[in-house]
Amino acid sequence: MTDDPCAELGSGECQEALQELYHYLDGHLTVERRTVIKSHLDFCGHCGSTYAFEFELRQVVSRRCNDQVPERLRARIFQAIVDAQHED
Amino acid sequence: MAEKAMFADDAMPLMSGLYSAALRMTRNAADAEDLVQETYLKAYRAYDRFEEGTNLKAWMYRILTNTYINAYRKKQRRPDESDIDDVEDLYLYRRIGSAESAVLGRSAEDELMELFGEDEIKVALEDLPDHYRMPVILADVEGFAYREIAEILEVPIGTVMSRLHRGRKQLQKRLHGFAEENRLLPEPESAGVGVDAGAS
Repeated sequence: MTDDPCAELGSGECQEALQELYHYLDGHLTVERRTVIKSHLDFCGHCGSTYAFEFELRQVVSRRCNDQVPERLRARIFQAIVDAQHED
Repeated sequence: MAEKAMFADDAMPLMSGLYSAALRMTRNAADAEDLVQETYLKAYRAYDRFEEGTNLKAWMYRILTNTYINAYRKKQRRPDESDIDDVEDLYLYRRIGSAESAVLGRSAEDELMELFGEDEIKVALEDLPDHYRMPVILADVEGFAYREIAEILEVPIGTVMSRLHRGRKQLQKRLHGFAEENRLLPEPESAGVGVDAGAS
């Protein structure tokens, strides 16, 4: 480990950080790895903005893909469950 | 074990996520509604075998995806996996993000929302082949962890990770195509190709 992550720009640490980007955003890293990546991101503007972009993109995908359940479907399913309960 | 009488109270609050996922899977509102209803009925019938205190949300999504795979996927032709290999990592960022970092630095989320039409992210997601689409929906829309996705889809965690990786790259490539079209054509004629959610 070097004290100055920026000294590694374009190689070692940046490469590692970018390779582990999805695992980081997915919450799939060990606490140790997470800390290492986090401290790299705090110093490295390039990796930091790459991470930020991927994070924001994911927020947008999630926001855009939430559909309202039609009220008639909710009612239909509730009724189907009630009917099934009567059959039990 | 869970009590069947409690099923509606426990499971009804999960419907909007299940319905959104069903729409992305089937790509049309009528099939999505049938798929969600079938999922709820199957889940109700099996609810006395559901172990209370375990992950109900993951259990419901497993029934949803199995029902989809068995009943609906047969209708749809699956594109070949190999079409994704040429997409690089961080595709969208390398084309859009770094070029507009000043703007993105201010409010990347708003910028991205403006970049794509109302339905384009849905369409891009729906265009992915099933084996990539399902993990991406479960991870990026529904927020499941790798381990949960592995259980829902009944595949190893390594498979979940590689499909997510490739699916996300493919999604970004498609989104970039939309962003490019939108700039060249300020009023795209293709608006409204997305799924009618039926919620007017």
